[in-house]
Amino acid sequence: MKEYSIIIYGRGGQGAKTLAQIIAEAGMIEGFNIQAFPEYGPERRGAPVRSFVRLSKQKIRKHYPVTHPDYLIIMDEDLLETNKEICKYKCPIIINSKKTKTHFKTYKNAYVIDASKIATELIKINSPNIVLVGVFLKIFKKIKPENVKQIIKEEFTNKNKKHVIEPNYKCLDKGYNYF
Amino acid sequence: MNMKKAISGGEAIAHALRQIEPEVFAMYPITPQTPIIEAYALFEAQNKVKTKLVRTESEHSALSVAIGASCSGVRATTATASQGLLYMYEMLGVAVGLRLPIIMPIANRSISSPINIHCDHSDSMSAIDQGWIQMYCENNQEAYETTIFLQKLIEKVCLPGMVCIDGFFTSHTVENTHLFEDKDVKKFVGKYKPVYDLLDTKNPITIGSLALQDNQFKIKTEIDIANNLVPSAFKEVSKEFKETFNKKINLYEDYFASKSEIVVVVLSSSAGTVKDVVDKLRRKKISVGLLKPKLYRPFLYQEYKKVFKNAKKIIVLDRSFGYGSVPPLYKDIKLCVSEISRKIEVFSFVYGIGGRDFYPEDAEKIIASVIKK
Repeated sequence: MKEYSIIIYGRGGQGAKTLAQIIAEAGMIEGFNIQAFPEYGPERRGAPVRSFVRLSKQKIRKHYPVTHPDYLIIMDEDLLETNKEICKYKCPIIINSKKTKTHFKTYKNAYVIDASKIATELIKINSPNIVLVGVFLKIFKKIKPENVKQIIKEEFTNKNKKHVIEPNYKCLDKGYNYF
Repeated sequence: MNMKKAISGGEAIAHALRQIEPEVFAMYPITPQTPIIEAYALFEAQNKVKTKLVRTESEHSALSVAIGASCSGVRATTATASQGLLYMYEMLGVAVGLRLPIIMPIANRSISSPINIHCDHSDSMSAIDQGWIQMYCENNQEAYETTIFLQKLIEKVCLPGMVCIDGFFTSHTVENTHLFEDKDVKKFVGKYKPVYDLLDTKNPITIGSLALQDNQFKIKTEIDIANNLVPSAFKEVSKEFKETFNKKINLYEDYFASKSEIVVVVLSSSAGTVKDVVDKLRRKKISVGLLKPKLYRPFLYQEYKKVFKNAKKIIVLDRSFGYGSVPPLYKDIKLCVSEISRKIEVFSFVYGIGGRDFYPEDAEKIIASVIKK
């Protein structure tokens, strides 16, 4: 049975680790076995970081970084310049950028969205991850957006930040309905 | 209640400890053990546990506090990694000598110098012969179950024990983990009945007294005997575990090993990666299997002889060196094989030092090179 894997490229502080965890947890609610982990290097804000997700109906036994992704999420377009290996992957790629799709001709299967702008408008901070989760779920099709809403609700209720639940739902919907 | 959670291995251990609910948890944070104590501190802040958290000024003090608490007749724990374990080394022997059942999770990490926060087994391997029980876990589910299991085992044999998980590969990786009901875990570990209690003023005792030549020899021999009793005690606890949770905990995992001519021996998270490789090679009709020791101390020399009944070549993968000698797991396997009259070749490979990733291609290359030899 198919195992789905994702690599997320982001910058320290952007929420690449959280993004991976949300997708994984939403997948678990859907009945997938899951694995989510970031690459731990010298951690500092702004430095390039990667995180990984695996989703499978079978038990996941392997423990090493994803090497053949089925999906890519790029949280900052500049990372395409510095991580040349991204070109060689032929899978769907979600790019957070102000530019249009025509700027990313190298990538045949690109989904370009200004997730930072959407997030800044809706939740007042440049935290694009929930918007990007929405886009991913639309492309992936195998996880319901309601699962993510459940996670958002639990997370922010526990943190006593109920007022940000609705704006985050909107981020998710915006991403989900963008393509 | 939904008991399936997307949590890290560190959090999984924290949940096991929450359900056991020791009276004292001595804490000193060190990467990559931090998810354990972060999660447990949160449980305490949310009043989910009545445990007394003691923030110490060093790991030496952390284990000392756990020892002191345990002497007073309660369950006590601490957790550490790498330099932290080395710093508490002096107290390891004290916990054993006083026969205190202290459980201590270790998130395996390389040791300095150079400084490195990533996984290898050189920290816990430096303490294999101190009398502590050591169990190694492949994934979050195993880390969770092993913690509950080991708590009961150590109390049966009056020895302290380490639950070892791979730093980052397990401690920080989020996996779906199934938790048991709190009441079932509490029933399984039961009410703690200490062998002695320093605060029992009606029966005053002295702890940590001087033992001269004869008594010292006697007490140290008893520790050796207690270690030898672990495998049989393990089986008893395993039976109780099965009765309570309908799940089996084994001393080791024999993944086609006893049926195979080539056997790979490896601990912890890399065993999962090797299982996928074993499946792939077996589909190509290559006779290869995996032995994953779960209980590493005491070592099961007799049991593994049976696992190697069809083995011609054994590949031992160590995630630590044995400077001036050979790596520790290889040494144990070699000793075990030396008692088998049939000729078996044993090959030693050191992998994954300082957290270097171990890919299936690496395992395949190693196996292919040994087939050629």
